[in-house]
Amino acid sequence: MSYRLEQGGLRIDRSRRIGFSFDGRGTEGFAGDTLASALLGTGRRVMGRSFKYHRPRGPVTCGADEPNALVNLGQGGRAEPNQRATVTELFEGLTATSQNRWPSLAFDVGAINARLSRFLPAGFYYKTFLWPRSFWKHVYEPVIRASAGLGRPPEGPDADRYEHLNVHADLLVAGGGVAGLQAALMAGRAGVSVLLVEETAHWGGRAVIDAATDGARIDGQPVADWVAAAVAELGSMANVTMRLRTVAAGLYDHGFALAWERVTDHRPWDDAPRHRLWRIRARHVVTATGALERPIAFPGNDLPGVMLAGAVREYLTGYGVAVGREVVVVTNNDDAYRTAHALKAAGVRVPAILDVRSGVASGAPAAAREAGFRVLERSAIAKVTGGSSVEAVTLTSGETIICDAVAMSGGYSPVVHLWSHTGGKLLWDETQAHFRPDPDRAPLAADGGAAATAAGAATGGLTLAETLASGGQAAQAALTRLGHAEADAATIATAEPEDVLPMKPVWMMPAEATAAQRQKMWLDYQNDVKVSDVQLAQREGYESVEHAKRYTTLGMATDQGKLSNINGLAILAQAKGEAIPQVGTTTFRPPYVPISMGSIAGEARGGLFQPIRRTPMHALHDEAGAVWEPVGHWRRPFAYPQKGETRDEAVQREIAQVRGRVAMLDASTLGKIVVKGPDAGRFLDMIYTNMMSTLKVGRCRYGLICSENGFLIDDGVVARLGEDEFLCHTTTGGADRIHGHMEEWLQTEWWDWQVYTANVTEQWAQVAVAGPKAREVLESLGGLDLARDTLPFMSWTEGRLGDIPARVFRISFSGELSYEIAVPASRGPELWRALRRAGKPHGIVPYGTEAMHILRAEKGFVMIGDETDGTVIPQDLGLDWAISKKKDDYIGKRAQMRPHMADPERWKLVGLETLDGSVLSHAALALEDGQNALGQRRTQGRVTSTYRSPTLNRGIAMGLVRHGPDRMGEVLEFSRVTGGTVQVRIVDPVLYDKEGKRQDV
Amino acid sequence: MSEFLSRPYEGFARVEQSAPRAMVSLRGDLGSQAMAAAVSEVSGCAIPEPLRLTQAAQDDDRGGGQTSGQSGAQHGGQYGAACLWMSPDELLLLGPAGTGPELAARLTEALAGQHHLAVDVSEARALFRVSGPAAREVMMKITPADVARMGPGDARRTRLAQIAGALWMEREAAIEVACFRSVGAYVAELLTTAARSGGEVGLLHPAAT
Repeated sequence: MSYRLEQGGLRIDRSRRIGFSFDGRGTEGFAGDTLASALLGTGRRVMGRSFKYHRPRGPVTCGADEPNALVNLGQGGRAEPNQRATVTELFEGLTATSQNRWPSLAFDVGAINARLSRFLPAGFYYKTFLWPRSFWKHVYEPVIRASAGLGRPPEGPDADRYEHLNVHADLLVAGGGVAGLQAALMAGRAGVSVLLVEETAHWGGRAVIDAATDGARIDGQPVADWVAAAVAELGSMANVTMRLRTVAAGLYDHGFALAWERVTDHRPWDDAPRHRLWRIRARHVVTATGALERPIAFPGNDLPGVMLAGAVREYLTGYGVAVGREVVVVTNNDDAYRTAHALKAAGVRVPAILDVRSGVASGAPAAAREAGFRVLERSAIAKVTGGSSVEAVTLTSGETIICDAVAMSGGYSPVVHLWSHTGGKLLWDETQAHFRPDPDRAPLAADGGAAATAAGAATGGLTLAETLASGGQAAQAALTRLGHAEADAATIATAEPEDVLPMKPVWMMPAEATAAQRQKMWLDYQNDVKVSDVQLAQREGYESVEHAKRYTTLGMATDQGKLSNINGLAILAQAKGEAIPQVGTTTFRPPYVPISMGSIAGEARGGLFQPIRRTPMHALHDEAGAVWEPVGHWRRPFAYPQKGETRDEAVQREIAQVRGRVAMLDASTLGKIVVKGPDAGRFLDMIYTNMMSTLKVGRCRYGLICSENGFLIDDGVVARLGEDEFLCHTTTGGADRIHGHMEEWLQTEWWDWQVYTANVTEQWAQVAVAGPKAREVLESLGGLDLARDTLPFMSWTEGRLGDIPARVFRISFSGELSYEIAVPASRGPELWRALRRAGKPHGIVPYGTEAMHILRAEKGFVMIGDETDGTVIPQDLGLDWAISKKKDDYIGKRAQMRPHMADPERWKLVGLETLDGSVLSHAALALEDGQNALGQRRTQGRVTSTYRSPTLNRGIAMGLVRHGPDRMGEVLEFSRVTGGTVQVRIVDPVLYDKEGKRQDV
Repeated sequence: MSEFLSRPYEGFARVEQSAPRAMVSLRGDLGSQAMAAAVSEVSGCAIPEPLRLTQAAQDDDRGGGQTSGQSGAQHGGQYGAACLWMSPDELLLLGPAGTGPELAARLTEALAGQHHLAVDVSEARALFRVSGPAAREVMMKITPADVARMGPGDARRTRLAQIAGALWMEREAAIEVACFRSVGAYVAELLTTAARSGGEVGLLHPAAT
């Protein structure tokens, strides 16, 4: 039974009681508590149930490595599953519920799985549920998912806000223990900019807790005083930024790092971002990330009450909480003796210290004996007994010791995650039986030098004296890397060296465990992976550590193997008869701890989820009732339904208006790229398949742009503005892409050509006025002579239209008499209104993108993205007329000469006419007799565009058909989405006004 | 210019839509005598160093270094001509509202015979100003540029969350922000969101927390 001591607790404020609830019951803790320490303080040790067997579980650790004490935190928009009670700071009104149990934590029906555990070994699911195949999806998986798993995903939107923060620093120090503080102090004093982040809410790390027991001093001062002085000094430096509750989660190339700050998790009532994701660009990184204690694999090591010795000590010293009344210590190293002393000093009985080592006549064991502890050498636990909590331990000697908690220590593993994220290499340290950073093989920066330096316990040097020294050395190395004079070693703080006896690795306790015992030795608590599972995986051939991990799920829990990996791979190595370094580790990937999805999204939610591009006339379209179509990031009116009209009816009406009288389209989204320079014509001759250099000033020409592989990537009208200046129109989605395409060729291939480009798409609002009455409407605005001969088809002019400066292009994508009018963007709405007024006598209406598409399809004009899909060349579309035969070269020319491109069997563009007048399905296929090599029906063509034409009063379509242009009049069979086929005649794609008279009036 | 922010937003910094200014994109050989002469003649500015801007000497005595967290009401008026470095062969000239076409034409004339491109882009952009002692913190939330180190005279062409943008400082404690006009509404919401009270990071007042 855990309980709160009468006094003590460095981190809590006993004068401030904090009310919270767990599983619906109200209770209290103190300010400074974590949820785990508060629950332990109230006597609750069971905080959750395991993933697979639903075994009762209590906290094993007091930090980020916690696998067991996971809870649902908060409610409604603040509900969050799988939160570690050990790192959740208590606040007034906190509500938490336990997970993975039904109906209650104390009585869980799912625990039946534990009784069946012998039938649920590693790989059980893979083996058992293979047959019948359909059962997996419909029977097994739903049942397994319902019975396994942790918390429930929250429902509804997140009530909090999140943000990113971009920070540049010379030096990032990850970890605010004494090593990190030492490194930051020296770097800060040297004047470089330093960002120091600490995962917990406390500076000084483990040293502060340990010193409360062993009385260690730094530079002659109590550790806590030294830490306070260091923090104060760093806080006074303008070049140092310090952050608590901020964990360096990932290290990436080029000094980029992510840190995750929990801004208001401990004060959720504040109106502030909950989490902040720091995007750090650091010139060098010091990883002072500490070390994690390892559990020992003995039978029953998952019972609530079995905890890491360091955690037992931290609950006691930090929070004034004893995890039990009689605590057995089991260890393979000296550090756990501190826990025994701390317990004793707090009045907690320690019936025995079990030390696996022999000959421990000096150092910590000898001191413990002197202090009156019962120290048992070469001693091991044969089993822990108890129902939902520890009741006794039985030793291999046969002795049984009554106790209610076990403090275990299997040694420490440096936290090498950040070091490893970008390829820092590890050494296997035989003496301490852990992997530690190899200082000679650091992660590399762009210049080939070290990108990071490890410091403190993260280097494997675990004593206070060593951590201080390595913190100082890391600062020296970092300053050298940053080009600063190396800091004076005399400024490195010191502590008394300790006389530490070597630890002795113990991977399985007892070493000669029976099969039954091995099935009770937990490695990965959360995922219920035991020693027997890893051994089974090895026997079944999963010998690679990466395979064994995935087969057993070892290390795949939310703690990502922080507790289990080294023990697991030691077991694997033993089973294989290999040394641990030969087996190696699994890959360390960011983030070091789980970070919230909200912080990754940052501000990008709601209206900021995606930038929406709006034309200057957007609000007018909205008022006119436009229904919107996304085109890239743009929103364009799809159609403008009037009262009582469906969308399709609106489209048909808009088309009829263009063909019959006049209508107007917002064409502002069309890309507009200015190309200028003495070599501009020559350049455009390369960019476009046709000849642009011969275009006369004042004239327009339609052009095609291909990629270097010959595929058609964009099209549009080019206007020649001056002798050395052109304006290239692109498709709506193509402006940025084509501008980039031009710049790339200019910068990488033709850097010596004198050409400049500028993307002026948004400088202009552009309106197409199309229909037989277009000229009358524009002339009524006055200011420009738009007569047929003054401004012939495919020419442009500029001046003032009414009162507005304008360029008028006489071009047509509808086949009707049509003008595109470009005016300064801010005057777009004014032009739009003026045109609507001027067109009133002719019943002018706006038309949307769908009408535009149908109008062009009636004319057989191709559309990038419909007739093209990245595999189509202009020749496929019958656009040979737009491919210059006179030019030596253009981008894509040579690619188009490759045999496959020149193959007469390629599908080519034709018009398609259903015999029954129906509308073809989009992307419908033209069927052919027989089957292909895959046993599928052979095809000979496909639909690229299909619409209902109000002008022709039937379905119209374009498509690509093998030998299509040579098969005019032939009838093919096309598939239909609704089943069956439809008879389709091959026709000319130009279905309306073949001579093009209407646009040239 | 369209209105993207109907009135100044007061968070832990002030966000407002700036009054329109003429903007001309100028490409050419920035190291040439002709370019220096043309830019000086048309705008009164020198050619800026990379990542910097230059300002025209002002007739009155306001200077460029004054703190103007309180600008706003009379914004625009006190900002003169400026020349921003955009890339090794590109400048952005700022001038009085409405003079974009004229500036472009004068540059084109002054650079006749030199390979260059001067084009009015005043209409293509939306302008915002973030001001106050913590203005930099607002920008740090949305751009990877090294805003904390920026001071008057610095200019960056960079990214604002998901879009392209530029930011620069013509005076202390006020950051000018430019984006394409089509995303003006996005940037208005982005800046006001980033400036929302409670989001102070406290970087500009370093202290142990």
